[in-house]
Amino acid sequence: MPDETCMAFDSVAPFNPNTLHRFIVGADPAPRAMSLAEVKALGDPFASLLLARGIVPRSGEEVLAKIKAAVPANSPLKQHSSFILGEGSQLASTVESAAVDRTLRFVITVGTGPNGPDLMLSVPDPNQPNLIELMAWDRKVGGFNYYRSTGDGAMWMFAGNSRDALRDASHRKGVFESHRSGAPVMKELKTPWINWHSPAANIPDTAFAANDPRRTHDWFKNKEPGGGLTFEFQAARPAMSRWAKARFAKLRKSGGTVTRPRRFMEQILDSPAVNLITTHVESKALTPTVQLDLPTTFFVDSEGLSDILGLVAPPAFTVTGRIYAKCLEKFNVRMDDGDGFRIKGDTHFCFLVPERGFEDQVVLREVVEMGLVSRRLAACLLMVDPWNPIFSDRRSALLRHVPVTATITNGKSTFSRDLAKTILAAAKIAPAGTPEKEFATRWNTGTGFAAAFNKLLTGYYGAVAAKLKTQTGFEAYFRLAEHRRQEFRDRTRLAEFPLLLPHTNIPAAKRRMKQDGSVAGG
Amino acid sequence: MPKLARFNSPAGLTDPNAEAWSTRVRGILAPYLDGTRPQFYDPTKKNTPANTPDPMVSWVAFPASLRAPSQAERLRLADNDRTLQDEYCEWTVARRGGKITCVTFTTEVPEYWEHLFDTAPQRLLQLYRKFVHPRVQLSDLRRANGRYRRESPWNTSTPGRLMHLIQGNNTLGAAVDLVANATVLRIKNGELVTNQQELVRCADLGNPFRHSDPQIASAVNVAASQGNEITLADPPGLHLGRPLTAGMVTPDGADAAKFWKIERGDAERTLRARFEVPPNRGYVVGDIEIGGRPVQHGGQIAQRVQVWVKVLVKKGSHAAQPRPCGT
Repeated sequence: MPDETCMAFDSVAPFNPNTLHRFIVGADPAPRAMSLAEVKALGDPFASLLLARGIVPRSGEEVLAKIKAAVPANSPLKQHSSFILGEGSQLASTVESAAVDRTLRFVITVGTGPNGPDLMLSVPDPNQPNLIELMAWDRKVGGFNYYRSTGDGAMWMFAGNSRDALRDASHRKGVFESHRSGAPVMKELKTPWINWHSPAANIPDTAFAANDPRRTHDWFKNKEPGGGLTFEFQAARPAMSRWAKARFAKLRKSGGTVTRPRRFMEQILDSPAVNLITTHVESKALTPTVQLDLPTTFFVDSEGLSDILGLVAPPAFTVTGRIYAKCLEKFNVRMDDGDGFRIKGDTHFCFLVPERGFEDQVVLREVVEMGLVSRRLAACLLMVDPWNPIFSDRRSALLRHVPVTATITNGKSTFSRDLAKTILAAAKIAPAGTPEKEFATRWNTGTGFAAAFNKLLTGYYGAVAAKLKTQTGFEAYFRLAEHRRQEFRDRTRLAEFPLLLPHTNIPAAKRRMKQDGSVAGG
Repeated sequence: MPKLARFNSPAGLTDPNAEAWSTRVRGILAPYLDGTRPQFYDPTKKNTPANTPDPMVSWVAFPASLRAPSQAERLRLADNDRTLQDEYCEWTVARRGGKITCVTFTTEVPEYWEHLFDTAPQRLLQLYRKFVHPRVQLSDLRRANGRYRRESPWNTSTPGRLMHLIQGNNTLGAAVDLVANATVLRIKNGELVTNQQELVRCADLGNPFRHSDPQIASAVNVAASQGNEITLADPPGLHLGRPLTAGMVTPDGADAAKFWKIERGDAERTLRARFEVPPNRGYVVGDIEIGGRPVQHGGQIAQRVQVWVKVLVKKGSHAAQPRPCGT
């Protein structure tokens, strides 16, 4: 069985490092040399400015230097910004933490504009030849072209275009194991951008060993002061939106057939992309009276239901530091690098939990705006098990009803009606308590669904707020958070580093939030 | 660089009474030079070697500590009450027919406007008339005791155009206090305090849940922990960064970055700027979309504006003398 994970790039047989090889995992059994014509067909700046001209950079630093050398003075590609992140970046510099791998790495963006940068690369060391992850916007066909380097001499592989993320052969394989819909990933997308250097948490030079040359490297010394904030707004969000727009551009403009509607419906009904979010309270600054601002998306898909579909927004959910601290003690919360370093307490910012990925929200907005999915259908689907905004098996079970194709003409599509009909037909013969029955109940509220849904949500918000006032109420949510983190570990390839998530003594169990704000599953 | 001859006026703006401003700034620094903070210094009294690093510390203009039941409510509250805008940046919003036409941001400290009132009142009046309203009278800006009135009706309203910072914590004095006190290392349970919020709480350096206080305190404290001496870079003051406009969708596809117009200072050191669409484009700020929603609040722009300060980090060899929290 060939390795079809993102690790596949690290075990390829050596090849000529002066030739770009194509290795779209799942579609290609092994890397194969690309002809010059194939390289020239790639429409991104990395290929067109460097590789197609026989220029092969051997490190991240060289990529940047050679791109800048290849463009005129007024080109946006002369501009770069550097960012740094690392799961151990906020550990205090102590004797105990001296040997910990803080997994520090740089992210470089090249080019600026309303659509974000044209090129991004990520690498732990500016001078290393391998493990460079590079993505660059293809102006010919749209989407990002993904590249990976491996080996001591920087053997470059073209790992696919965003569109390959949606093709059956390469879906969720290779680089698309983490870039599931083809979009760039910023796991910690939102304030306070845990693990990123940001206004909320600096990464000081002491995060590097005293003799680490990265400590004085330009990428570190002149890193973007806004860090995660700047990357979120100038790079990650625009890049995800750019791909979503390009993905549906043709359908928006001239209509046509969607060959794999399941792909975008997965992004609505399932949780293929995941972001990580925390409160804004440092775990070391926890005091009994502080109010922790719990992420609302832990409780409800507020971005999908409220921001996009206009249903009632949740209130601010908070819990006191007193209650939270007791959970840390009771559940023996600790950080553990798996290599002998262990420290009591939570992640740098308290209560790290997974939430629905922004790239999936962008797609929801796109398909609703273009008329492929009606607002009513979207609301009724997301109101199936809305108490579990992420990793809901009940909601994802409805994927079985998605038709194999969909068409859209002049902004009108029968897709929503057809899908609703299919689910309603299944609901007629389905036993009570099934997601189909739940959908039917939602659908039968009619076109004035908003008032009914708002009532349901408001009742739920009130129930949650009441639970948050008690120790036992919040402990159930703490256990649910641990379950969701476990799901995140199991379902995605994004839990790559041992210091990303906290460890607890909470036994593994399937846990689900219920409408009354209680948690099933212990 | 030897001793600084004098502090320059904010953003290096021309000021015929620059010496008076410098004296005023010296007076703000003076209380912190009593020997209790040996790593804080006055660059007009001590040398600063050439090429001394001056790292930028930046944060978000939108108030972090503002809590509300929903994001929309946070945005509404922040737009409507300058006293909530506590990140060394304030803004006001101009609308036409309910739609936003202009959002004006400032980081200008009130101390400088007091200085102008004292040394060049006609210049002060000119600036108010140019930037706020042509009908401003000098008497509107004078308190009963003859001193400058920071919070005149011309500079407290939230609609329209503001002149300078008025929120109680948005002063040069507060920034100096923060930088000076953050040079003192702190210890808790035998360990040096390094986390931002914990440091602010331990040393009582402001609000741990603001963007600005923890960020400034942490950057200064880390530099101090390496034995260095620290002060605010000249000219001392707070500055605006360009807004992060990527992802803003304009009706004609224009790059929204073009709509940021600097009104005081320059691109390097911006003190005041407005976000406004030129009239010839046929649309206004309220027609621009962020994340699929039209701009309905100035706060949506403020969430993408950064404020910054530069601190001088002079190489030093001070031995760490951390103090316990609360002392």
